[in-house]
Amino acid sequence: MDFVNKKTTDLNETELQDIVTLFNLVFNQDRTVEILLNQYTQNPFGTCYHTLMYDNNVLVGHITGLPGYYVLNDKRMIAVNPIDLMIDEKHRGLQGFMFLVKKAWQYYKEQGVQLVYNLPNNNSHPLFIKLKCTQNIGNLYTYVLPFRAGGIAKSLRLLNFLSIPFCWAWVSFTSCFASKKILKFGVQRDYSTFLERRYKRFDGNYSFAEVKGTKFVYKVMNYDGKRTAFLIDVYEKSQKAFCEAVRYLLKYERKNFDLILYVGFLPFLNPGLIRIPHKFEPKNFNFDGTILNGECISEEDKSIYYDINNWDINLADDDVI
Amino acid sequence: MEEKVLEILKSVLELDSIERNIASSNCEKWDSMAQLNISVELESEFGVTLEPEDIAALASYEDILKILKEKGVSDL
Repeated sequence: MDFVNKKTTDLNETELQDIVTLFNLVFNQDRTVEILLNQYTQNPFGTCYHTLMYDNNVLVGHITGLPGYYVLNDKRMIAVNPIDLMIDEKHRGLQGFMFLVKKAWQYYKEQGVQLVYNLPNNNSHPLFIKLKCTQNIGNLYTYVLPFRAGGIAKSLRLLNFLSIPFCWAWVSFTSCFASKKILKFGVQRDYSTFLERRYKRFDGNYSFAEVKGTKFVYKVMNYDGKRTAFLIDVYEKSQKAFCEAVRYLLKYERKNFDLILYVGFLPFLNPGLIRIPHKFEPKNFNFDGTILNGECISEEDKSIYYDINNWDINLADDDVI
Repeated sequence: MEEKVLEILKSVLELDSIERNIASSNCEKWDSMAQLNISVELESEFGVTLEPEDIAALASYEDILKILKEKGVSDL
C-alpha cells in the first residue's frame, strides 16, 4: 500500500474524482466533486487534510480530517473530526484500517493539529478503540419530542389527539422548572470561527432563530421518511434556553414536522425534550478521540478532554447534517 | 495449545468444523469485528497483551501461532 497526504486545496482533478468515485461506491451515494469540495472547504481553514491509500496506483482507501478551532480548558487549539473514512471492499481489514488511520494522525500532527474528536459508527468505533487509535469519550444522547404520533408511525395516528397536547404541556411543565444558569464547558468549539462557515455545508438550508437572547440553529427535513425538526445547536446553553428553542419550534414550525430531535450530550435531563435511554436509541452516537501532542498538554486537560461530561458536543460538530 | 487456538477460532467464527489453513482470506466470517473478538479471546485464554499491530496482523491461524510464540506462549 502507498499513502499520500494532501490538503483539499492541493488535490488534483484525478484525485478528487477518485475520492468521489470511492465515496459513492462505499456509501452508495451520488455525490459530485462540487458537493464534496463544499463539504471539505467550508471550515475556518478553508481546507481539509486527506490521507489517500493506494494499491497499484488505484485509490482503495481514504480519510479526511475536518479541522476547526476548539477551546480546551480556556486554551484554543486545532482539532480535527475524521470524516469520510472509507476502504473498498477488497481491501477492508484491520491492517489497512490501522495503517490508514495512523498515517492520517501523523499527518494531522505535522499540520499542527492537537486534538482529534471522532463520532464513528458502531462498526468502526470498536476498531478505533481496540487498535488504540482513539480513547472512548462517551456516548451522545438522542432527545426527542414526538409531536404528531401519526407522522412517526401511521398506526399511531389516532394518538395525535394525545401526543400534541402532551408535547405542549411537557414543554410548559419543564420550562417552569428549567434553570437559566448558563453552562460552562471544558471543551467546546470556538464559536467566533465556527459559525462563519459551518452552516454553508450540505445545502446550506439551515434556519437560525433567536428568542429572549437564546440563539439556535435547526433544520426541518425528511429523515428516514419522517418529517423531522433537527434542533442542531443552541447557544448559549441552559435548560431554559432549550425549552425556549423547543417552544419556538412548536409555535412557528409545527406544521412542518412530526417530531423534534436533538442529538448531543447535556448535563441535565429534560431540555424541553425527552432523553431516550441508550438501550432504546434507534441509532447510537459513539464519541471517541485522541490527543496528538500529549507531551504539550497537561494531565488535567487530558482528563477534561476524555470525559464527555466536560463537552459541548452535538450534531453541529459532526458532518452528517 | 494449538487445539485451544482452533477452538477459539471455531467458536468466534461460529464454524461447525475448522481446518488449520483457515485465514481471513478464505473465511467470509473472519471480518474486522471477528478479528477483534479473536484477539480478545486470545488475550483472555493465554494471558497475553496484544498490541494494535499484533491485532491487525491476526489474519490467519498461522499468524496467530506466530504472534503467540513471540509473546512467549511457549507450549505451542
